[in-house]
Amino acid sequence: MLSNYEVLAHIQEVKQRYRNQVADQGPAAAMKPGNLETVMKEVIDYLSTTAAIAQTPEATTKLVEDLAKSPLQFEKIEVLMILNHLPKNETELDVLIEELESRLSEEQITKVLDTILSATRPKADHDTLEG
Amino acid sequence: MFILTRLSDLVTIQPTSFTVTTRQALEDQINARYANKVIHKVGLVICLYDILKSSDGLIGSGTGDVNINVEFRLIVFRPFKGEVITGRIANSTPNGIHVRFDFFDEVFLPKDYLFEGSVFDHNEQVWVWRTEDGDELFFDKNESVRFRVEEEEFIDNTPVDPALRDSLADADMKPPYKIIGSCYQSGLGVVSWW
Repeated sequence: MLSNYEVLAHIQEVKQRYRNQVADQGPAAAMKPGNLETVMKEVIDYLSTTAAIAQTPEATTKLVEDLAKSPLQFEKIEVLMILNHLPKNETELDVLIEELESRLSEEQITKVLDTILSATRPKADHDTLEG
Repeated sequence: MFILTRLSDLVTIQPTSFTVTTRQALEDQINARYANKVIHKVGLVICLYDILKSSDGLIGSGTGDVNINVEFRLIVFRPFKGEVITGRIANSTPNGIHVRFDFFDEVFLPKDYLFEGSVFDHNEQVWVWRTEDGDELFFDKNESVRFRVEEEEFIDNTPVDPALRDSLADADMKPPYKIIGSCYQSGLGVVSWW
């Protein structure tokens, strides 16, 4: 299983490698299969509209560790979906986690949402700085 | 939504590719063969992830091609059942809603899997969800929509001997990989609603 962010990072790395090659040896040496170009562009287009675009390796690792630390015992796929969606309110979280209300209390839900929010915040600060 | 799949395959490098490094040549060959294609019962391949093992190159007699056995991993688009994904509404019909991603078009939300109280508006050609409070919420075209994966369907498009084909209709290519999704739980549906 890969998270959206890992896929995005991998494709960007591949693209960068091709770009370096163009710079080193000229475009003719760096020809790549057409179908690869198409799918890489489309996947980047899609992932740019998701939460993955704002994630960093550090923030992602921290979020996974924080979720693992909490006594709530999330399944692996639930953590993966939280990573991919970064739910902002209870309704959004409820969709991702089965039987949310019977497993977690109100406070625990708020705490989980806070954890997710704190993992996404660095990027938001960054935006305001740039803007 | 994405998984890694391990495959092994015999890759042939032609003499015209001898100018590039072997690794690069292998990657190009594997990507050319698999990228953006559906493997039956595996999913839609995005691209090569890494190469795990490769044998010595063997040159066959007659041609100058180098044959190498390679073991590698691919990034594959294969959402699991129950996963929640966000896509865009491509179009709506009385039967349901077609959803697409930038790289994958075959997602369908049948009308039975939509919210209770959803009706199709023939004038506007959109689905409308009439909530219990009397609000009307529209599944507009191009809106981002969140849905749950319910079923997946693989269709084997292996070519059939023309003499054995029953009719012309069989010759039509069906999408090799299709996802059926649902949208009847609060939190699902158009993203901006929640």
